[in-house]
Amino acid sequence: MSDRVVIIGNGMVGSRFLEELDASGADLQVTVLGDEPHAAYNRLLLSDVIAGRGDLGRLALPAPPSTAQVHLGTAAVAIDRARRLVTDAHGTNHPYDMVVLATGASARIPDIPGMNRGRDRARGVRTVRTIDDARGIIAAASTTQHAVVLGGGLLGVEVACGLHARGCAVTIVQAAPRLMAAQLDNAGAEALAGSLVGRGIDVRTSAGVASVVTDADHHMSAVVTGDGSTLEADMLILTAGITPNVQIAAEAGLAVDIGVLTDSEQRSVGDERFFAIGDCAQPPEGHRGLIAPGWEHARRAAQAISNGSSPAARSDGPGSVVRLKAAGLDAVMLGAATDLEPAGRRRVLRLHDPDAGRSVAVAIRDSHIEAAVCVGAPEVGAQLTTAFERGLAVPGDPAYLLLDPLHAPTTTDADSPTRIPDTATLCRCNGVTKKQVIAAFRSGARTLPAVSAQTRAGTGCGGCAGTVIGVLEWLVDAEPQATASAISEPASRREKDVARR
Amino acid sequence: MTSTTDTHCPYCALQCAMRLESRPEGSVTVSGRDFPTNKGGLCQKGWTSAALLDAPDRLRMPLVRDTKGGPLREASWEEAYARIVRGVRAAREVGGDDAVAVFGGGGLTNEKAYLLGKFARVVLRTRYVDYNGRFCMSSAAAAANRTFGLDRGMPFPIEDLASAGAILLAGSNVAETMPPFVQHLARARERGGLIVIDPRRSATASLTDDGNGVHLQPLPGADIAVLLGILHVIIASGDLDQTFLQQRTTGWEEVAARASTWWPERVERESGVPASQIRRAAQLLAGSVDEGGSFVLTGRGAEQHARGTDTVQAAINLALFLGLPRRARGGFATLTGQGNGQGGREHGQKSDQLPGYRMITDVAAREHIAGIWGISPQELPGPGVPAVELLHRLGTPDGPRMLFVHGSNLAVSAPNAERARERLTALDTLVVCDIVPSETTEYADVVLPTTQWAEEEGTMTNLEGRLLRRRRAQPPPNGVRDELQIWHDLALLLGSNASFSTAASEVFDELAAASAGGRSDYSGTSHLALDAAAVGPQWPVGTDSSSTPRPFIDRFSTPDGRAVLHDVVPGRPSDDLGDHFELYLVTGRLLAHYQSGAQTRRVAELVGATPGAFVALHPLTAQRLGVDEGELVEVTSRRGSAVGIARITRDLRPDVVFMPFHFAKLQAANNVTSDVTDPVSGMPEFKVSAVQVRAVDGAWYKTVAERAGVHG
Repeated sequence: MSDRVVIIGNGMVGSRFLEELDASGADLQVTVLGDEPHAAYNRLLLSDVIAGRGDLGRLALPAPPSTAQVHLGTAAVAIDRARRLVTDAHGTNHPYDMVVLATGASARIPDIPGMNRGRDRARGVRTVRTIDDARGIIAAASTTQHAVVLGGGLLGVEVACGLHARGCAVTIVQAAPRLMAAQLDNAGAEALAGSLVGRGIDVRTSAGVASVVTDADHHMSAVVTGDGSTLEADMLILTAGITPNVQIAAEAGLAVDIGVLTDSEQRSVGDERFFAIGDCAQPPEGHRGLIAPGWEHARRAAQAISNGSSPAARSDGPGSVVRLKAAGLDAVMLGAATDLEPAGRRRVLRLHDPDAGRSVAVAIRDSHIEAAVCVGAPEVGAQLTTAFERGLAVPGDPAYLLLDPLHAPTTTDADSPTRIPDTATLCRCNGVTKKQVIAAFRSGARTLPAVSAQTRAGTGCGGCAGTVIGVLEWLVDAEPQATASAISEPASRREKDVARR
Repeated sequence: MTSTTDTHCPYCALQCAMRLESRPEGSVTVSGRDFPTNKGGLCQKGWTSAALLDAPDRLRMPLVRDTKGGPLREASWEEAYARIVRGVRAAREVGGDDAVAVFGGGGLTNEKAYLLGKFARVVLRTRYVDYNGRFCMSSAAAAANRTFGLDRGMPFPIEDLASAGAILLAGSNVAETMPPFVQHLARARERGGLIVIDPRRSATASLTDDGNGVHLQPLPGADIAVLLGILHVIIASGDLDQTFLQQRTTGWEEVAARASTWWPERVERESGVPASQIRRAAQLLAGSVDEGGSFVLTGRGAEQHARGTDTVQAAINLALFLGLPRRARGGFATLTGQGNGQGGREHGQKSDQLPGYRMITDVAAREHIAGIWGISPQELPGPGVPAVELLHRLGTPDGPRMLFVHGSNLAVSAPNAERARERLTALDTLVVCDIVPSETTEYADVVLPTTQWAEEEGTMTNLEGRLLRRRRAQPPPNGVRDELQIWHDLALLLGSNASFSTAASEVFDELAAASAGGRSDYSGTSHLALDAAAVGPQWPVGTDSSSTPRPFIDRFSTPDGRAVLHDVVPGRPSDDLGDHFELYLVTGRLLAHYQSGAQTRRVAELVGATPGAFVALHPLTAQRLGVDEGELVEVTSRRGSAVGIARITRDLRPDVVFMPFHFAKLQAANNVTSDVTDPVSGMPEFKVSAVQVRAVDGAWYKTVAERAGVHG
């Protein structure tokens, strides 16, 4: 009988794992327990949906293979390792040969005075982890006057921009001295904050929420920040970090630190029947809380479970690329921001332009990009990303990495007939140069058809007609004598050229 | 007295209409003729096409080679035929009927393409027949067949483009490959709606300048990611045509779910295209669906990949999500490349097909065609193998020992060309039928001189699936024979009593009957009917003789009438960076040249425009490699090398270099390209190779070039 695999969790990484496992062709009986009532969806796009750039109804991820039994709205509540059973919230036992923990993470809930009354959280305080969270935020946004976003990391910035786009006044309160502290250097964070402030978002760094003020119905009405000032606010969004969902693993006695401890194949260090992937996992390289490492976990685990018959590594590298998703705000972080200081053979180049909301820093070692931060320069960011991920050699002078060589404005002023070089091709379809058009003019051609007859200019796509006429008009002014001495047109050039013998 | 002949250009699939004026002393003059495709325009190749008629080294006598490695010498037709018959018999004795193979071309008329397939299957009785269209159209064909149930490259009249608000060109450089086509982009450009996806800022990509549109410049091989990113935005913005998807397609939910995982910022990481540009492209396309129409068009840049079928599929999926095919203005099309690339893939040159775009494995199709050919279905060979695999098998112990080549210059145009040349060398007998000596005739044991465009009658099917008449303006030189004549003669000499008419109109009638009821049905027309029409019909032309300009308006050609979307995922090129191969090479065409250059490298004016190979590279790349403008550089892949003159230009990404593929010997870009093929279509991955580039010593090159006989 084929092995029974129970996957606990039906999020992005669990879904990807199913896909990888299916592609491996391994013969397994797969059961999925998902606590949410929705089919697997793209959690990463919730901030896009909040920003009005997406639709909650269109987040579905690729459907699971038909052979997998997927139980929605069915949380796993306990694992009996002795009897090899997973018990779900409905009391059903699922026997297993292997368990894959893909339980994800929850928003970290800081302990803020006034926020909780008994077990009830104040109304207006929200997290951004699920479709239901996003639906609630969108519904409330239309009546929200002022939203405070606690936590200026990737998600906090994206949600702040989204709410701002929906017309809310927004304040970001960030405990660290800079935004996206885990990913950005000071200059990058300064440029990013400048852009946010520029669009009207209030940014407070090295700040915290000391308490939440609520009314009699336990609706929030304000927050008091660490410096004692009161911000009237009817929404508080908690984006200050995540907590891996490891309770079920810990209760089952598996080794847990921040996440479930695993080896490099994502296998639990204590029980080889267990794997952990995604936000709940802590492999040897550490807990990251990003999607790309989660997908890599899924690949590794699928490979291990299918005995190595899983497809080769996908392109989504080891998760060292972080890209902000917010309309009109571009920030990309490659490698570790801590590597943006010169050391040994490492060379660091910077372009610091806070007034334009722009900051680029690139660390180079041995002609390759080791780390980079790029804020407010989308084309540069895209090029740095591909160069970093594909290990491309940097230019002889790496300073060119700081600017966009592809979209640099051209300096040629080719629109003026006088300034087009004589050797420039005016008619691409027929390879006709300005020089040939001048020659045609001097031999009497005064109109486009006459020039076409002699040179074929304009007889392909016709796109050069305006330019040729421009040259003719310029010649009429510049060489009036040619007009006077013009002789009758010679036999058309195309006849001479094409004629045989 | 001067005679005039209305015909079409000898080169690409736009098949520009032209008028030839022939004078008694033998001169021929070309002029453009008004037609929906070219509106009177011609490019430099078209204007100079008459120069081909008297190329100084035009083949006028058969040639034979007495010993391998010996010289070719002139021979009579009788001697050449006898040599071929001996070769066929000798090969069959060793390896049976499949010991003889046939390789055709997408430049052959419909009549020739049809008769070549018949010659292979009825006279030679071999399953080994395929053609060079496998190098250019097979991925687009495979995607269209599996989605629409029909492969007519452009399933609408070309003039529909004239009103377009947005046109997306994925990997197509029409400004150089078919210049008069650019006229059809004018309206979309005026509206700022031209979207070009190309790793190179090609002449076509430049048409997006000045606010005329947007150029997405991805890494080579990243087109699927880019197209999925655009689809993602269209779905997320609610711009999908859900009614159309539900009523007329299947499989769209899976594709939508896949697109959900390719948001623009992720696509940026995979492709190098900034997320904002992906969004912009999506807005342009979605915003024009009801404003003049939106079109999605692919070319070889998107198709010539090991995942080319999937790339075309991604483009088709995009068009279907916008509901484009149901509209009178809008749709998906692939821009066919070779002159008869469309008709040439419909009538039996492909290893798996019979005339009328029938499948050779289909029992009913075999019965129908066998009936037309006067044989029993059991006598019809089964499917062969696609071109690249066919080449790989040549001269191997179990493979073909003899090969007929018609209208193809394999020694230059095959991917991984050195390997292809080795296989040609390993053959017992190579027969090449051509108009001029080519790099492939250098390997031939028998060379047969044949007619060319203005010397023959026939039909071509242009990129719209429109039937055109190719007409004779002057007789061929003495000593030259039409292929129809050649196959007729060889059939008799090889003991076949099958009919091989030498009159193109009769061959067409037979083709028409064979195609009746097939997917590409020509049965309702004839040379006579085509001569009477100012503009020929678009197929299918069934017995009611009516044209079918837009076959997908109301239903698709699948059994249930629904288009079948397929889920596709991005991936890396088969030949990826690493091991010191640190740049991507992309190859492509130039305006002044065509395909292997066998024709255009013989026209003085075209050679003047571009005399030889060049290697285009970004100034930063040139600086890093220490390469100066005009210097000789060598491009080397894991397979081979080619040289060209360095052209330093910001039109390329710093991680990409470009070479045109029209040049031969040491300058042949296909020495470098990969022969890994698409698993569905058999199309090779011409468009991406991982390479190294270095400056080489000019004196060294001169020595090697002289030894190799390279001129210019």
